[in-house]
Amino acid sequence: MTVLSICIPTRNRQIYAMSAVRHMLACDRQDFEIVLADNSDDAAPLAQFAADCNDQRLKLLPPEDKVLSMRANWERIIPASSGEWVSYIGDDDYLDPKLCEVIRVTKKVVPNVDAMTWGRLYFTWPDVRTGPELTKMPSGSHLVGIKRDDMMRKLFFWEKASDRPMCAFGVYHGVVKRSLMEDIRTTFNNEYFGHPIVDYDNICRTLMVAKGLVYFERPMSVFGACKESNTMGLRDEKVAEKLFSVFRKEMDKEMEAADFPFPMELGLTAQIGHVIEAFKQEQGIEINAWEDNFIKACARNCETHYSRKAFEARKSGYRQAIKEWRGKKALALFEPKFKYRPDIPPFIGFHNNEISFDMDIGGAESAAEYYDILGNMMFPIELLEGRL
Amino acid sequence: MVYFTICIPTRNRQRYCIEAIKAIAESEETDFEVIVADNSDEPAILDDYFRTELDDSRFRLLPPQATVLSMVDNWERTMPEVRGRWVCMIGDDDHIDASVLQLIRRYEREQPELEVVAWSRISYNWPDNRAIATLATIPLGHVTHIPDRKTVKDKLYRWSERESRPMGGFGIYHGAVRRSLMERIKRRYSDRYFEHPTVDFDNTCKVVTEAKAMVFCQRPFSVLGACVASNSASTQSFETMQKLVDDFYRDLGNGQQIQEDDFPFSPKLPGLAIFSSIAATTWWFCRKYGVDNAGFQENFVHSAIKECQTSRTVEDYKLKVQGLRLGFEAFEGGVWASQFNPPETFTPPPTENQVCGVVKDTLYVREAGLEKVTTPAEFYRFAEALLMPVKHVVSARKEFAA
Repeated sequence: MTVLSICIPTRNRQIYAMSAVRHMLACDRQDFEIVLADNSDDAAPLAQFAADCNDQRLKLLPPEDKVLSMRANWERIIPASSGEWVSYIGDDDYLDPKLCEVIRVTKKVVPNVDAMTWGRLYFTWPDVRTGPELTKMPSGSHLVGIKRDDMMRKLFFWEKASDRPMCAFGVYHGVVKRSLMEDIRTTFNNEYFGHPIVDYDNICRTLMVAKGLVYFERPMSVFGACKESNTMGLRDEKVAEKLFSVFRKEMDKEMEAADFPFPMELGLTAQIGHVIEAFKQEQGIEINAWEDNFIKACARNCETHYSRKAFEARKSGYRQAIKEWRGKKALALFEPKFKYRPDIPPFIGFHNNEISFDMDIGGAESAAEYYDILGNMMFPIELLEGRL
Repeated sequence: MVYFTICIPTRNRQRYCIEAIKAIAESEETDFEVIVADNSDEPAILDDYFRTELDDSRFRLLPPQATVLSMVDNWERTMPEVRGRWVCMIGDDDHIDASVLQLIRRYEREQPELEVVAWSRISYNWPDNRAIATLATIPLGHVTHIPDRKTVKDKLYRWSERESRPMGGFGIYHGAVRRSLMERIKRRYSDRYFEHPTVDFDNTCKVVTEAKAMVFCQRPFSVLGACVASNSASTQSFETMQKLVDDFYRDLGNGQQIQEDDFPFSPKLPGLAIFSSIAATTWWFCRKYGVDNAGFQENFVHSAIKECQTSRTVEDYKLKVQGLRLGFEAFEGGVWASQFNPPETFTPPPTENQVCGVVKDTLYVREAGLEKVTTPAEFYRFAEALLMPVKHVVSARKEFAA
């Protein structure tokens, strides 16, 4: 029986997708499948790759006649998959198929679990690094039951948010039971994914219908950032502009929520704000007293910028939007501070249950190899059950 | 005169030794020297390497003497050759980052009386030494400590921590000792730099008594390598340990022996070579030189129980218990024997050396999974990604971005 479908939507980044798939197929487990949804302009590279792999665990959905929106490419995977659980990653990311074992063990202790997520790992592919990059790895390895009400407050009320809500239960770098995805489809408009910004849209929907949430402190996947990835847009203004304009061109639905005057181009917080607003408006959900937390998150979004110019531009953009949205008084809560200090070196070592380290560790050349290297420093999945 | 001397005594492990030399030679530091004291049966290998491959004036080779030296004598003969103000010994299957000399300079500026610098060590098993599952360890801290002398003495001479090893570290082995202190040790202790066959603890015992000032840095600067032929490898198998003990006793010849008359815990007992050698050394030192170690016996009983509990199998456990019980019965008229009560039943840990991750600021790494890493030096470079950069430790920087 297929426990897990690892879904990888991809478009024109075949090399990265192949790297992840090749590595996953090297795992000797037989209880997972990979569904590669190719939305590339050239169908040949992945078709050839899939033929060469000749592995029943790999299913390839070839490109359709015309380019699909990201949402539509995500949407078509679930009907083509068969796993009891579903997880999505980007084509420059990595996910460990041993997640099947984590699911098996988790079900023993939390029988009603239907959505899980885990600690985060980040990897910038070496060809786009401009110098040493530091990152963090959580050191915990416990399975933690999470109350849905707490997550509701974190997502919809932006409680204790950074520049984004501290809730990540969804299919993207998380895993959700197929039955839950079907609940989502039947509950909301007969679609699995409703908004062009698919990951946060799915988080909203997952949280509304989930019954058992479990957070595994140990990372099970890697968020990769390659030259063409959205994540790179967070570092480079011009890249961000270009990526967003392509995204807009290829999407198939309205992105902006009504009466929410935050230009999407301002950054991640504005984008997530639109997704959540759009979802609430669509579902007729009205809540109060979330705005203050959102405004603070906007300030943190400005603070993520390393260039003073970009910081000031964002600050001014958010100010204008906040003023238009909730009036001048609301600006009292918006106090972004330019915090980047190139003269202060970053911390390396162990602090607050996280290891801070140089991403070049072990000279990893791919997200998969990076995960393997770090896997030698993380709690072994094989021992998880023995610790219950 | 150079600032820092690294000594590498070696015997019949040329392959590892050459790797150690190559790795240290990559250092861009200039104010240090390396003395390789070869005690091998075949002198040609290192001699050829020095003559034909290693073109580095920082390195010197002391060729083997006419007869094989004991380990302690091979260490002893390196000291007169040392030109450095500070000196450190490492094993031939180890690694050291020569930039540690920058740290010693900093500490010496801050404490002119300083005579010993200790740092954390990384441990690493060579690929040929993984008969069982193994884990490398990387201490992740970077803070400097000025230790409390009384506490250090209690931990070393009295075994006050009641662990299976007393506190080590403050000595010449994977630490730096000022040469003037080594000269003082020679004057005060039997006219030798190194006396007891358990050389590292012999030196630590003396340094802890004699050093005017001492300092410890949490950041590791060296790697304790364990190849298949090393003493530490013996912890993986009783048979390996027995062979090493036999070789060790043979090489001692007529020199200083491990005292067994008033401390009847023989390193020849199965599985107890390392535990007993260290205990015999601290005991011997305190007795011979009149150092107060009151309380040792009671602490040592607990340490012995701990040592038994590090066993890998029930059979190993029983053998250790049996050996130590015999020792306690013969030790000081058997007065401590009634306190040696290890649990009747022993369950070996089901996941020995498999749980990687962070425990108490030390990262445990499944080294077998790092295919590109094959030597202690490569492992050190790997670990550097997780360690505070040397320049920040040397500059005593305290402020870091989150």
